Amino acid sequence: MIRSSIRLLPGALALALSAALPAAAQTREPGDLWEVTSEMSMSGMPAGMNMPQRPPQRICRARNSDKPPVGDNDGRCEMYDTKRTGNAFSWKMRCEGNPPSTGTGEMTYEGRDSYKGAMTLNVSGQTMAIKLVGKRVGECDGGESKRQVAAVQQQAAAAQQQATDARAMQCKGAVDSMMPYLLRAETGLQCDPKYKTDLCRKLQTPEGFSAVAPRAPSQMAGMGSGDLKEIGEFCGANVTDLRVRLCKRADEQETLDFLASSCLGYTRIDGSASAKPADSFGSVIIARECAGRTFSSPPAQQYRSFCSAAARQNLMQPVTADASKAGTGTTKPEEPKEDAATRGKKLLKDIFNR
Amino acid sequence: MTRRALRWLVAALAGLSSIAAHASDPTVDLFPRAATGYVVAINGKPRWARAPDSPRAPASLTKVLTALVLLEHDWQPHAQIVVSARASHATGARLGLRAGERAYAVELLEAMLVASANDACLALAEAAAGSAQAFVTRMNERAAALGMVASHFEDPCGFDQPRQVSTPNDLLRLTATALTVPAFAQAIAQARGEVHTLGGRKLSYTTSNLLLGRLDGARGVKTGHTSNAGRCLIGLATRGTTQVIVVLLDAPDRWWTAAVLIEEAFRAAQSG
Repeated sequence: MIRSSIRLLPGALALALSAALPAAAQTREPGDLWEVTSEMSMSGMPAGMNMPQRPPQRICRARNSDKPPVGDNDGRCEMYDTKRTGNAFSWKMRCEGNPPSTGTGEMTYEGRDSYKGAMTLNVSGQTMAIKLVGKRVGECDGGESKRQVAAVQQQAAAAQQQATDARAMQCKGAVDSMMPYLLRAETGLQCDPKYKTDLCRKLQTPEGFSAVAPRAPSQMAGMGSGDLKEIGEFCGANVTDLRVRLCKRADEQETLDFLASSCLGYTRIDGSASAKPADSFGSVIIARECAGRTFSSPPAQQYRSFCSAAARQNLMQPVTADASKAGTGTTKPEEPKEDAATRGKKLLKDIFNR
Repeated sequence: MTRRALRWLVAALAGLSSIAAHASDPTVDLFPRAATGYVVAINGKPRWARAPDSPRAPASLTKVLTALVLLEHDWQPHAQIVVSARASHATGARLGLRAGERAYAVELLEAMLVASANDACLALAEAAAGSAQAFVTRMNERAAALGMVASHFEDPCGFDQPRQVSTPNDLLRLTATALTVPAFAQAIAQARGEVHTLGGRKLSYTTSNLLLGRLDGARGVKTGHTSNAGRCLIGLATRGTTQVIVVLLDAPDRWWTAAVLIEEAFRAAQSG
């Protein structure tokens, strides 16, 4: 019982291993392992002086390969125009490097286990001759190098795709955040022109405009801040006209959030900064829903945020000469007793009407 | 590509932080119409201000110093305070105390801070120092010790007097100190209360601070109003670990103004 189990163990292990290996690793291709000796010489070299010789190289080549079992200088040389006639191969090659080189080669099999051949390489006008002697020393997996190349190509393609995706994400991010700087040619991001179209189209919407309208210009020279002026220039849009168009619609439809973020303090007439609150976008709603409201009897729920924004806008206006006032000198601390209606009329009146 | 974009982002962030630094400069008056004089402090640091060192009448904001002096000088919360004729005739905000009535010090202190009761204020000041004038001397000594160099007091309860003046920065410093006294911090947060005279009368009052219960995180402190001072407020609000103090001197719409400034301050604190 135990003995039969032991006999079964190697087979089971092999099965387990083969299951664990990736599919690509399991498809072996029959190949020959060659040991290649090369002897180099260079034209014009003084007699008695020898080129340094490389140690023998081992090269695995698939049996059905259309390439001869010759080294490719660690992948730096590419063979092309490979031809086979009977036992003989010939080819051309070009090698990258500094300087690059080109050359030709030929070889002839002497039986199944050896070959002899020669290559000529031209490097910067010098010619290098290489004698080749190959000897088959065993078998190997001829698909290994193919798989390695395929894996490298796959990695490169994935990296390329990743870079493309990252760039697209950055370009889309520039549109989402309404920051045109990243879409400019000088950033080197080289976004597709469609992103600029998207950003400029978004600017025409309340959503896009309100994202940009509160931005202050950057205080750094040449630095984009994504403010309205910069985006207007980038898109070739008249942002003052755009504000008038969007704010008029928001006024009519009482789109309070947009009015609060983008319209308060700008005149309905031409979209310029409003000197008179009564001319400002939203002033009708302010007069109707905010003015005269006390803090203890606040505006209706849906208008509270808008009225707060109006109050904030008002607090940030410059003070005019008539806004300052002097005390009259009576002596009762704390506010005089007033009925709620009187106080309601007084409170906020200054904010919205001065 | 990415490096250039990153360089730009870094520079843009530097630009933004320079804007933020500009906005946080205490000399910047971001809200010119907030008040004749104001300061907004976030976690003790002044953030925005207008005329922060210009003296103005402080009205009943004075009572913050009155409370601090009372609490720091042999404070006995259950001492029985006798209401003088002068205190019973105090004008402005008042409880309606009668001459000769007695009440516990702690209840009068709370009425003074929560409802700005002038009769309670005067009764406490007279009882503590023998006279309002003697109490004012203590107040000025304490103000000087606090470094309130531009402040001077002539009345313990904030009535307008020619030399009764303080500044937003001085009042900010005073408030920060007063808030370290537990009895003060507890009193200013109340929305209503009662004074029980030892003769059996119950005098109810509600806070004069409209922010309490209406603005998220509002903790009260003190209101003030006289003809000279205009409408004044020291407002305190806390959210999480952030504390905002707003001092407004002569703010035509102090409640809306305070609410807007406090919201802005919390927003600024959040964005760093």
